Amino acid sequence: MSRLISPVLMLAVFACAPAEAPAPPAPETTGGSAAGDLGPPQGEPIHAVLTHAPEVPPPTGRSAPAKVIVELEVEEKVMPISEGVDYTFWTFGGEVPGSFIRIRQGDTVEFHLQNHPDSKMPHNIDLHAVTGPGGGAASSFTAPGHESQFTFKALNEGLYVYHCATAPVGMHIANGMYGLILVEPPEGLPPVDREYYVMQGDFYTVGKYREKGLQPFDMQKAIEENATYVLFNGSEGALVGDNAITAEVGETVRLYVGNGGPNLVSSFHVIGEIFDKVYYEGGTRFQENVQTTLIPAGGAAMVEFYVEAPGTYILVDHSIFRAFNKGALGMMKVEGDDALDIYSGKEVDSVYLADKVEPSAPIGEATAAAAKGALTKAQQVEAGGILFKGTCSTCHQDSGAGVKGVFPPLAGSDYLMADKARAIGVVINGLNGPVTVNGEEYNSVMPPMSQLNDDEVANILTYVRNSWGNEGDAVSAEEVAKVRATSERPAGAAH
Amino acid sequence: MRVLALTLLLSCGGLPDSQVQPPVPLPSQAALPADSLYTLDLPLTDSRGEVVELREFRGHPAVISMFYASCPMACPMLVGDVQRLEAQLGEDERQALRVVLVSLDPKRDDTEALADAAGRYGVDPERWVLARTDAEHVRVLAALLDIQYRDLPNGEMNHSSILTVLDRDGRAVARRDGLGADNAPLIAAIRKEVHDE
Amino acid sequence: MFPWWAGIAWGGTLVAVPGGTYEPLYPPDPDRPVVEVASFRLDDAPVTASEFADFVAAHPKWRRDAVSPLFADAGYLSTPLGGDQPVTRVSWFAARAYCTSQGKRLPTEDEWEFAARASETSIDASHDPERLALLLGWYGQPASAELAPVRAGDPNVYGVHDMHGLVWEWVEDFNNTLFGTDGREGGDDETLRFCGAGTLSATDVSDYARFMRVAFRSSLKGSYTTPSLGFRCAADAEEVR
Ligand code: HEC
Ligand SMILES: [Cu+2]
Repeated sequence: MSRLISPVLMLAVFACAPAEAPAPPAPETTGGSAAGDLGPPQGEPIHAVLTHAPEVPPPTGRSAPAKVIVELEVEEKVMPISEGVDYTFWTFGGEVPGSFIRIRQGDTVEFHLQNHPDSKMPHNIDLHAVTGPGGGAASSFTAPGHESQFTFKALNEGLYVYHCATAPVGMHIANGMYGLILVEPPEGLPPVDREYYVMQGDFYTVGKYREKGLQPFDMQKAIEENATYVLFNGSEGALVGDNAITAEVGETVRLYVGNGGPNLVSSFHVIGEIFDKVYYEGGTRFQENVQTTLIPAGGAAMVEFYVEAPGTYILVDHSIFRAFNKGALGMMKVEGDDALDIYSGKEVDSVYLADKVEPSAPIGEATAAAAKGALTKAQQVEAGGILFKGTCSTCHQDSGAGVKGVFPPLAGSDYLMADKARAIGVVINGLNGPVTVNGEEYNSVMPPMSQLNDDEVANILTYVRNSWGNEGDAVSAEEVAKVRATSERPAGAAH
Repeated sequence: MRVLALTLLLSCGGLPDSQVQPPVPLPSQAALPADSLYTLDLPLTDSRGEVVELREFRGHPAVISMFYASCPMACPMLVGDVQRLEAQLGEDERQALRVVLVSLDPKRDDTEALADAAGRYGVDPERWVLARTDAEHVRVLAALLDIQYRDLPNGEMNHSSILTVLDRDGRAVARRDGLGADNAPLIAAIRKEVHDE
Repeated sequence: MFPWWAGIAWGGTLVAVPGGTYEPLYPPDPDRPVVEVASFRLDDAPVTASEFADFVAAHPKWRRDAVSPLFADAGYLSTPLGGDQPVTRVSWFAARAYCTSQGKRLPTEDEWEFAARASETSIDASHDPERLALLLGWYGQPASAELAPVRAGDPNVYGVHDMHGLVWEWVEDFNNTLFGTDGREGGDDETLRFCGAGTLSATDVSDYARFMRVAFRSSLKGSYTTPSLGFRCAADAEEVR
């Protein structure tokens, strides 16, 4: 019995129906939870395979309901949320998002929630795949160093979010307590070549975006839904560079995409791809040929696409400031032969990114060289130039000439070249009040560039001091660190 | 005290065994298991004003919970739940079972109030004990039975309705949370105590 | 700052906390959110590990290898006893026995929360956003780090140290918040274990720190122990003669 009626076919039927024909029969349904009890579990209990994002456990491959034992441990731990920025995450399974759970409709799940003894908080779990009050939350409320067990039968197929529901719920979710559980339909999902697990979440820190150090949760920002970070898989960089997901030309990729929230709705989009299928809202039916799909907080979707052309595809929340200013960005690297007839190399979205993403290679090279102690001035200038364009050029202009009366020039600036430490201080701490550059007075405000780390400041200043006719020596990260350690941060710099 | 009476009866060796044989094996004289509720020193007074010791129930499966006599709704319902459970048991099982309800409200629940409640609930005085203890021990017993409670300004109380089945040695072996919840796990536990060696 | 003998006194020093009114997070009667707290006395610091070691030596039935499994879980006293750090890994039963042995008792939740509102300068700093952020910072840190000794920081206006930032603390009526049971008596059932419901009947939905304390307490059973949970004792106010 085929339950998945092709929407295309249905459309065709509607289109051909003569106007006076009787209303077409309602689309066949799965029968929902009432039809989801497939009898008692068969065979020996199975221990569920749990995976960390972006990996997905293999299909269950079963044709009968089973008893599945899931053991999930809650751990509170400090992990990087961005480069040089740490955050105390509360996790299901030690990572954000929580471990991916994969079962089959009709399975009886014996769920064990363990709360690590080093946890400070009690936690519980509400699985949206559970039929029953609280979704398991009340039965799984667990003090630190203890374990709870409850059992449920997975009656509805689909892709479901699970999350902690301990008061204050918002904070538990904001700290990363969510993940996905897939309930396969009895016949399984159609096979694909690759499956990945991607989950979006919004984070609220006291320091601003990329401000270094251990950043505490900011309750006020969370209440105002003013996210500092919007991230895929719990940290900026979880899906970029070496961590990018991969595929080969000619493969079909399925992404299990969830949104933990706590607040924001995702406009999930893969730049340069069109979703061939979207099992919207994580449900049974799919829409075809979709550019962007909406994933609500506490919701999920499965998206599938066939990849024709090699290159890097960018996963974004198309509420686009989140992608470029809050971190909601991931990458899929596709290898294989060029398909120039399909993709010529000019695609609007990837040009949009070109400034930011592609030329970042020299920055990485400079960082690597610095780590080895083999950093050259030329490398610094090259890396610094890219960073300058992203960070300083809006005000001081690409040409370094500034804007008369508003933004002082860096090209030929006596103020800049006279005192290296002072220049470092300007970048780290910002500058306000009257300042005379090349005989002209400016009285304005430059905000502290506190998102930059020492390497980045060193590279930018090396670039600035060696461009547009400026000639100076290189600025080292150590020199920056020294200034950072000695200079007083202006009040309010963190906000 | 009941245990005393039973012991006396048993020591009159003249009677044929079958007549004195209680419905469950004799209370063991062995040391109580460490996790037995019967290891507690819990001073109880029942609705007849008699001192009761929890360990007197050793040898019987028991249902234990907490209530208060002036409770308008939840406690009568809880008692109803236990009576319904009793009705679901076989005669021998019912005879073996003991029911212990300890008051959460030692201030108001004196002997008289307890007797009045026992009368209102229409419980079998041979097998049911409605008892009180002091405020200190109320918290202790509630904590052991995982019962949450607090006083309300209007004189009523908020409390959880948890039934716990104790095995013959006083260990908690089954638990039911919420009024009107399924009695099946409790019944299974009681049957096991009555019929298993 | 504190008397020279404070460090070696067996148990904390009781200080007076004058009574007053306060708003519990979940008032027993939502129509009357303000409750009276009578004057009482509270230990100026959490009980330390070495103080508890002395107690266990004097009362061997509270030793780790002797304690009844009814009264303590397997983690009881699993961290070595000794030092000026607050004792943790103690059950409610054990904490209570300790206080009783000193002629004291555990504070009630109302007493504890009432005293915990105080800062170094005010008896009620519970609405100070900066302080709230500070407290949240502590709640957000994992409990794996080593604990600081008691009385390391400044006391609050009552002279009480370490109400925040060091350990969670047992209260006498930790099991007073009702949920996960039947609500037909119009109680505060299910409020904490369920998504969102917890905020419905709370008096101050923005006081996340308090939410977390209440949630934490409600996750406990009397036998539970955790590495971040300690206690201090209290007593009624001294009789006025
Ligand atoms: C938001 C606009 C803005 C950005 C972005 C900015 N600056 Fe500035 N900068 C200013 C203003 C305005 C002043 C003058 C401040 C004053 O009047 O006190 C200034 C002053 C300076 C000065 C000292 C005056 C001079 O011209 O020599 C230096 C050096 C400088 N900026 C470097 C940088 C560098 C390097 C970056 C990038 C890391 C940067 N600035 C980013 C606005 C900006
Ligand atoms: Cu949680």
